[in-house]
Amino acid sequence: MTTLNENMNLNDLHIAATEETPEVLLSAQTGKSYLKGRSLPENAFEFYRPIISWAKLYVEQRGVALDITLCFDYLNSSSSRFLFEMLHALDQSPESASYIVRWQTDPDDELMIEKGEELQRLLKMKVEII
Amino acid sequence: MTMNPSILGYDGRLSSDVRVQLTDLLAAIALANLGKRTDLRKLCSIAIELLDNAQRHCTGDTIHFSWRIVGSDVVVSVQNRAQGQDALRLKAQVDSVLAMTNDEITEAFKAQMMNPEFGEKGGAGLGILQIVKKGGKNYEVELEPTDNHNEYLCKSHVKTSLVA
Amino acid sequence: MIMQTLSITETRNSPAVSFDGHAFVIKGVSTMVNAMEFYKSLLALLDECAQEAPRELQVEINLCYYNSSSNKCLYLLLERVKRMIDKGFRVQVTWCVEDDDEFMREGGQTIEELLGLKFHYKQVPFNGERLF
Repeated sequence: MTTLNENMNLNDLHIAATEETPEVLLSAQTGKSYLKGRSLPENAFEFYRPIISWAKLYVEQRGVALDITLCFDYLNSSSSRFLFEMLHALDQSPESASYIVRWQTDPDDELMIEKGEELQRLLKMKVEII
Repeated sequence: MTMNPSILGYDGRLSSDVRVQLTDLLAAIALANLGKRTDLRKLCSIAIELLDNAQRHCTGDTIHFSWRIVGSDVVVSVQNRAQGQDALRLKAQVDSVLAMTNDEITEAFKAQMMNPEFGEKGGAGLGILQIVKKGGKNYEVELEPTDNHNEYLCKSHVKTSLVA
Repeated sequence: MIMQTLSITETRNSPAVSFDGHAFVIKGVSTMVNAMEFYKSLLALLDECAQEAPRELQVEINLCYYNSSSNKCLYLLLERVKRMIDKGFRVQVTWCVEDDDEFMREGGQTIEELLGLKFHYKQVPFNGERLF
């Protein structure tokens, strides 16, 4: 009898912050993940591409429940689009009901609160605005 | 961009979409860990060819894939279940390529490219030759019997030096 | 006589293709598991084009990466081009290579040598962070 090696799993994806891009930690081991900082890269697609790939692979593998904190000082429109693509990919998981997105924002920042509310409308998984 | 550790691992279903996501993530990880170098695509091509083969022949629900940097080597491993005849053919083809000299490999590659036949699953018969041509001869295939006597678990490992 | 033209949009694993009767351009990435499914219409198009009166033709292969299944298809495609040259077509084949990328350069040289063709190698800048 053989089974595939079950210890291997999708690895954590950690990307350090730059002037234009947030710090990213996506953890398949603990589920505790975050994107923090500002996101205004010239080419948002190139930056978010591995992040979206990770999300799609995570859904294929179905790991532990995800708990993602999103804390952006600023998010340009193309970043918003690809961030949504990543969340939408995670939303496709049969386990997405147990996932949580914590949208952390300044209570005076109307624009960011609106973005958070938009995510609440569009996603099946729970989005908490804090 | 830094990522930890210098590894990409995946256990799951393999479809064309998954393969695209894996190569995208691999590209980001390889670039972050090795920097831009003129042989980067060559190094990643080993993983892509192994995944292509796995997708063509996999009979199980999941495959195992890992890409690691160990010292000054890149080690790529792919495991998938395959029909007995496909698994034995893979093993025989790898063994025969490993027995060739470098010149013979180059000649076999050219001859196979000129051969207009494709395998029934779309393979060009070039994958293994290319892996050895680009990655060297540190290529192992192990076949393990499974609970189904018509199938084997195929484990492929390729180790390539990062030092030119 | 109406010349065949063609335009195919790029996907995440297949290239964009355009042909206006004079310039044949393949651009992007080519990593389909069954590449022949994709390339067979291109081979048929060139076969048809070869029946027309010889003329000038530009062929540009501008790929960042291709898998081995696509490699054979590219060989078969350029073999068609070779036949057209033998029929009197004047063809310039441009093979693009990003920043001395070894993979694309060696790939071009192998096909060039096998078919006895002479490619024009064009250096193109590395496209952001896109490897595949």
